[in-house]
Amino acid sequence: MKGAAIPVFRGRRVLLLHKADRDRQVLEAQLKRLGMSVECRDTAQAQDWSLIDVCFFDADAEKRHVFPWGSNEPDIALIAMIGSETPERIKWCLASGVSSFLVKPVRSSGTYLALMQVEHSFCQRNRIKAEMNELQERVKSRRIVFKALLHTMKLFALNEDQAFEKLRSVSMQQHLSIEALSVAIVCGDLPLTWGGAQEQGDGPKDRSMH
Amino acid sequence: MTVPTTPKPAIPLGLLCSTTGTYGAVGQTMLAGALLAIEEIAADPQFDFAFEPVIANPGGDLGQYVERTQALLEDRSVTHVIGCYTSSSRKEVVPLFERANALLWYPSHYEGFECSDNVIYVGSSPNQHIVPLAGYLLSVHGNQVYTIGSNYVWAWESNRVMRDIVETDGGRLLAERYVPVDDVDLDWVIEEIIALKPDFIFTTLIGASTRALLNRYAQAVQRGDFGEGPVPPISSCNLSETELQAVDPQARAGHLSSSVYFQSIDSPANRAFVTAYQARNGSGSVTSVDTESYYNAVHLLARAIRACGSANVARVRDAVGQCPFNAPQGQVRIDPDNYHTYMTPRLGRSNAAGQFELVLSAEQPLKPDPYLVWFDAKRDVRAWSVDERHDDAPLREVK
Repeated sequence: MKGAAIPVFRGRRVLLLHKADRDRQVLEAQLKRLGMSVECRDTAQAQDWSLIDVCFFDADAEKRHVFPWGSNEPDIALIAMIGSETPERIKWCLASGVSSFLVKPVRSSGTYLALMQVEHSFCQRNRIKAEMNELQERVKSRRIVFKALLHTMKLFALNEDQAFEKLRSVSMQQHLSIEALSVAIVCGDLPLTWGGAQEQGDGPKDRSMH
Repeated sequence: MTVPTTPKPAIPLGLLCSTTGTYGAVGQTMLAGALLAIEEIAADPQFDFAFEPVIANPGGDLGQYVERTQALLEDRSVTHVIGCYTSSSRKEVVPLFERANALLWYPSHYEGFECSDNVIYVGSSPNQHIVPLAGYLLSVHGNQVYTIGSNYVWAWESNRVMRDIVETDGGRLLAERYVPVDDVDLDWVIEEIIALKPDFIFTTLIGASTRALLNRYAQAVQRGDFGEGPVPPISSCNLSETELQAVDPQARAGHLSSSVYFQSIDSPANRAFVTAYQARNGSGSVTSVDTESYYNAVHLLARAIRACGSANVARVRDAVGQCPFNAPQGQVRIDPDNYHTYMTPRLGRSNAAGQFELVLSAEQPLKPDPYLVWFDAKRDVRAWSVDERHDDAPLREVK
């Protein structure tokens, strides 16, 4: 059975930062037609950001919106409502990490497109960010893995390939990543035996293979 | 001495109908439906105005839709136009209506995912046509599906929804084929259907291509090309009486259509409508969902103008949600949330006379859901299946 492929925005929470005018009115009506719950504000207070899924903001506002995350990697998806297609405005929006644009004057068409684009690009960005974090952690733990490898080679008189194979098989038995296993070995929490890891105490040490 | 009746003031009403071209036959019945309603409004003392029809025929050509619309809006200063059939034609002209702040009354069933402030959508939305059809077919015929469509947005989006529903049910689309609008060289499609043995065929072909598919399919059945196995039924959300009249007599029966209107609906309102239509257009003429929809659009507009006392676009838009009309299909009314129409979904199976015998019908008009916001692939499809009937299912089994 396949999950629903139809993107459903029903129930998503929108923060709409725009002065009360026709553009805001048209957008609010269209978002409500899509089943979304909409909070309209001229500018955002700190408490407005909790529990929000996506934010539309006025990129032409005289006073630029300040977002609470203070970086160009927003915590929630941003869509800029833009009237002036000037390089300065567009660059500022992109630098703020917007995932999509809605051109003013706002019409009912274009909103669904912007939301679909956000669904794709913001989620993709989050996925890539998570993958990058994981890779960075791995790079950081290379020294530890190397130490654990040396320890294993010495302990069992194995060559590098054999030692790595042993670490790999123990990590599978223990349901641990190679990196986490290496930390446990180097810290002395998980003494290795020929059969695998020795059973000792609580935590990950419990899960040695019998 | 008789007092001469003062003629009612006339409000120009654009009718943008392709009465020639690939779907010209459908266009002719649309125009006839609108003209019948215009005559009824003119003769009805409850309305102190009449419509003056301003007819434009784009001939099914997209460029002509733009030119004819510009002529209606700019040269003739028309503010209300009933028109278009295909979504591609509607998408061509909607920006012109938005710029002129005029109102397009779009009377065709379509794939949804649009809501312009300058359009009133009088045809059915996807939750009112494809969802009922898919639910019924999955429960009766199976979930291995062959799709064939004319290569434009109606077919693409309808097939996307069909795929979603079928795959949620654990089935699959065995093929998803598209041919250019007007293509009639469909022998390879018939051969592929015979080879793949689907449980049913879902067609989104329009015009001449529909007629070619039905004729070639009937010929293959007669030749015995399907052997001993079952012949998969052809299903559609845009197969009407008008098109069945134009196919070979032996190609008419056994197809399943999802529609909010069939000529065979047995009600006083529909009998009166069919009688009036045939009195005007010949006793052999047929009504279809497209005829009814253009007819309904005129009546809905007339009621909105009467309610707000003006043909002003903004005032008509505000008023139209409060002006239901007892249409041939039953009551229709505009949903002020999205300017689409509450309508009554039905499924019909075609017979040799080119009419539809009702299979299932909703008990009452269903709220339009053009963006499928409230759609649940399991719950809503099951509501239309014949083997899992629920007490709360909004249906009445006809046969």
